[in-house]
Amino acid sequence: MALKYNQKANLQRIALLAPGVLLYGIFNFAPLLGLFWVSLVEWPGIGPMKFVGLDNFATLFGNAFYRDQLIKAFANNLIFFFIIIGSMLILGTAIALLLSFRSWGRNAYRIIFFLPYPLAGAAVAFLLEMVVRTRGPLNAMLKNFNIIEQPIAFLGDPNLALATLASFYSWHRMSFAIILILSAIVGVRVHLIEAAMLDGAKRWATLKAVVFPVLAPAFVLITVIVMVDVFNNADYTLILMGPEGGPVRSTDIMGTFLFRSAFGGSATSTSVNFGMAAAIGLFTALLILPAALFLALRNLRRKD
Amino acid sequence: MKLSALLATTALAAALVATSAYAETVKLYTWREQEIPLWKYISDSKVLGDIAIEVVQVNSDDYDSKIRIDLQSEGPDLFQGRAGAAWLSSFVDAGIVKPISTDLSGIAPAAIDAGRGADGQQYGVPFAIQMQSVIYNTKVLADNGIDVPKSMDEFTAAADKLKAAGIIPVNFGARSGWWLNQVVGETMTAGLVPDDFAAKLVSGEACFTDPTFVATLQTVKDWQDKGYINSSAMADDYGAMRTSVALGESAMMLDGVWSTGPTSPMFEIDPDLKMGFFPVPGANAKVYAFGDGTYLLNSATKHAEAAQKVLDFTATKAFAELFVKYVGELPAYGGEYTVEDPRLKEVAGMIAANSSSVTPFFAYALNKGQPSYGTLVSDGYGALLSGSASPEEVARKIQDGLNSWGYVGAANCK
Amino acid sequence: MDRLFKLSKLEQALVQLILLAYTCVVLFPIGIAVLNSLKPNLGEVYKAPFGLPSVWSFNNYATAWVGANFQGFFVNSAIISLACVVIVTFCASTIAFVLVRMPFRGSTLLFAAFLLGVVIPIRLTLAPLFVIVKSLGLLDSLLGVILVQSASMMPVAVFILTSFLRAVPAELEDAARMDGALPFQIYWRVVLPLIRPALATVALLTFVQAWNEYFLPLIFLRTPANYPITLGMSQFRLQFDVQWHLMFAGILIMLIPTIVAFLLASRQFIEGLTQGGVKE
Repeated sequence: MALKYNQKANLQRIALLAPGVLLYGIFNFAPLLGLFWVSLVEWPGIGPMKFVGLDNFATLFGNAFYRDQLIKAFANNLIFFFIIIGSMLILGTAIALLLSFRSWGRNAYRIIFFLPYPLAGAAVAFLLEMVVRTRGPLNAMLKNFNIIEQPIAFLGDPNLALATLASFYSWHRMSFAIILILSAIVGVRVHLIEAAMLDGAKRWATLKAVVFPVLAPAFVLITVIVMVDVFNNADYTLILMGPEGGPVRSTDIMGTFLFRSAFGGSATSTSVNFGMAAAIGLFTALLILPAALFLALRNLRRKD
Repeated sequence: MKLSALLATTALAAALVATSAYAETVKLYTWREQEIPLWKYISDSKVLGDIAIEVVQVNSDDYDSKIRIDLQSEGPDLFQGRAGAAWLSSFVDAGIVKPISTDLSGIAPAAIDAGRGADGQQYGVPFAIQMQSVIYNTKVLADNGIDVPKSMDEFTAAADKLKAAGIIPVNFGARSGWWLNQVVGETMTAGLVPDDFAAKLVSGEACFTDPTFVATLQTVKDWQDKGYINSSAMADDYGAMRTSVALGESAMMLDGVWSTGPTSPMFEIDPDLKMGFFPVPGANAKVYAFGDGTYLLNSATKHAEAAQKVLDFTATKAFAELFVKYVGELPAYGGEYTVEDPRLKEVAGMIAANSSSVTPFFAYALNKGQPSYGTLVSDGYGALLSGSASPEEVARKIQDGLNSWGYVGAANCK
Repeated sequence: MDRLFKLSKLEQALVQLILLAYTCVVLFPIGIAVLNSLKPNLGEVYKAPFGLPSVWSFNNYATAWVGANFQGFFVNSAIISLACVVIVTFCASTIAFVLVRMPFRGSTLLFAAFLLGVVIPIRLTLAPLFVIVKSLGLLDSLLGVILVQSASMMPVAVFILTSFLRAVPAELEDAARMDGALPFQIYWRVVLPLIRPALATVALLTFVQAWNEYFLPLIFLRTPANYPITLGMSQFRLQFDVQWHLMFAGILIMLIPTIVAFLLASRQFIEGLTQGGVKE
């Protein structure tokens, strides 16, 4: 009887895995493996692929023009990431907590806070750029309250542009953090809370003991997903500052660097090289994969 | 759901019925939505006989990706390409486009390079001549009693007068990288650098560190230092620049004639807006003209004969006149043809009489390696305007950048 | 339970202050979008972006509806998005269940394979992906787009669900196994109800991403009859400018199904809050 069960269980295991693994394998993972091959060719998207071995990587690291940009773009990307993840985790937790309490109108707030999330990146870029313009409402408000004399060029100042774009991202995607954290808080078992409170613990202590540990997996999730998004995509930067990552490369991150190196920047596609795009993409993945793996596996193996 | 499906099928069926009224349908890919009425007319009026032309319009940002994908399977029969041998090179190497047999004798000399490949052969039929120059708000200049400047001294005097009146003399939308190299770089060169020197820059006999070229950068820097340029130039983009001139807050800008066309949003800001053109009044004092792109034939097309017929038509006078009428832009045709629109007439006159013959931005010799001339100029002006590099340093950077991949002048210009 | 989550009057006031402040930050740009969606032409959007419309052009919504062919493309968008939601939630949850509850020798490797998909965006793998889709004959079909989009969202979904499932104790499942229940029964009867909030989250995120997806349909679809709304909306993008007054109208119309999806999904959160999981 036990043997039969195990056999059946094994078969069911395969059946449970099959659809997802097949779907992912064929339409996502297999092309991913193809990426390794593409990084070894020079290919403008049509016509023959020219096998160049590690030339793309050699150019990337060997040619000073590329290497300097790569390093700077990565450094900018790190700053970009930390600003975003800091604001999303801190603000996200605060708001999620407030929404989990019996706050008035919390249902309405939840819907309102969700609104930015499904907006297209181009729309968000346009709207928020309007707000931070030198003649926009933010500067007008700051001037009104006598905080500043001259308008601040949020996007024009090389020292501020990156942080400004990071705040755009946070505005857009904050709801993602709120939802995940709220989900985690809500998932806490009632009886654990009741048990803690029966022990006479007050609210903060209860929260600390019961709710906060649950946040760790949610934090890991948010961090990994945001990290991947931030290091690979550069929607706002591309739309607002162009592939050059201006002003003077201060907003250049991996996404813009890739676009510029592989697709030729604003001089419109004169030297397209998908191979270079693949090389940069793989390199970026290589840089963030360890962090992602570490966080994710630690979470998977955690004893609760 | 059923109703929508029914509607969709009906629409599709109607479309099929419509096109089956023609012997053949030729698919044309373009990013230029302004060409849709033109081809609709040509199709509906059966100008080319029993050939229907179906326009597939993909917006500019995604165009390059889309055609590269679609060309790998049955895609366009004809498609528009951007100007210059550098853009064409990947399509030429892939055998997608072959040297064309179309008679190009009627095409204007300024536009002919748009379809020329790296090997010197013609691969496409150029369309649309665009002009770039100083564009100004006529009312603003008139209100301040300023005439069109004919020299740099007059320009400076005019700018001082405008500045005193609280108007921004020249507006720069420096956040837009493409505008910095394609418009600013080229227009300043056309105005300040003599044609023969510019030709030598392209051939490598002259160097970018030469004061003649540095003058283009220095002039912009002077304008900024004298307060002629909007102080938020790095934060303002192309759209903000045009808005400012349309509102009359700025008097002039460096821009292309497309901004004065009927679909330009500048007229939605001020329906009575009137604009004029003049070249940057420097040592060369010429406007900048270029062929916007080309019509290309997909060598793998299944409708070769029909597509060839369409392609040949685009090089004719009849097409030129339709182009002016339905697109509102100047065609690439160089011969005599009727232009009724006074604005286009003026522009056509300026192009014919006073345009620079050298276009470094499109020159294959300067753009086939990385970093390309276009990239370097864009970065250079950005650094210049944000104050992080002097004109000489920017010129040096351009020269070094081009030398790094051994462009034709690398040996000559250390 | 109530005592933990109920707020005193003072606390309530403080909370409201914070939440209202953040509401202003969120709603201000959206308000600008709404305002500009009612302007009669693009010029006014540029001229006075924060001013009131000269003419309240509610017909922009009608124009956007017709211009972007909402009517025709809505069905396509709905089919694609809903199919993706079903496929992704089902497949990702079964995989998460196996990885967390029925690990085998290759489990960690399989998980790492999915993680690789999280780390590398599908956009980069376009060329090989196109070859695969073409060779399967799925070009220019809704099915093709559905499969590609589902596959692109699988990694993140698996990641989220494994994370949540890990935090849920296995006692109920062990009890079911003692009773002789087979994996599929355990999955269907015991686990799925337990991870409802996480499933709702994944469903919501998948829906929003599928609904707003522009690039993949652009590449894999040819016939306009198959287009989703996102492709229809690119009508409003001219060469140098976007017709923002119409674009915003279209974007705000597109927002509505995502809000509906959010309301449906967040009901799971509310139920989670009051039920608090399973009684022992």
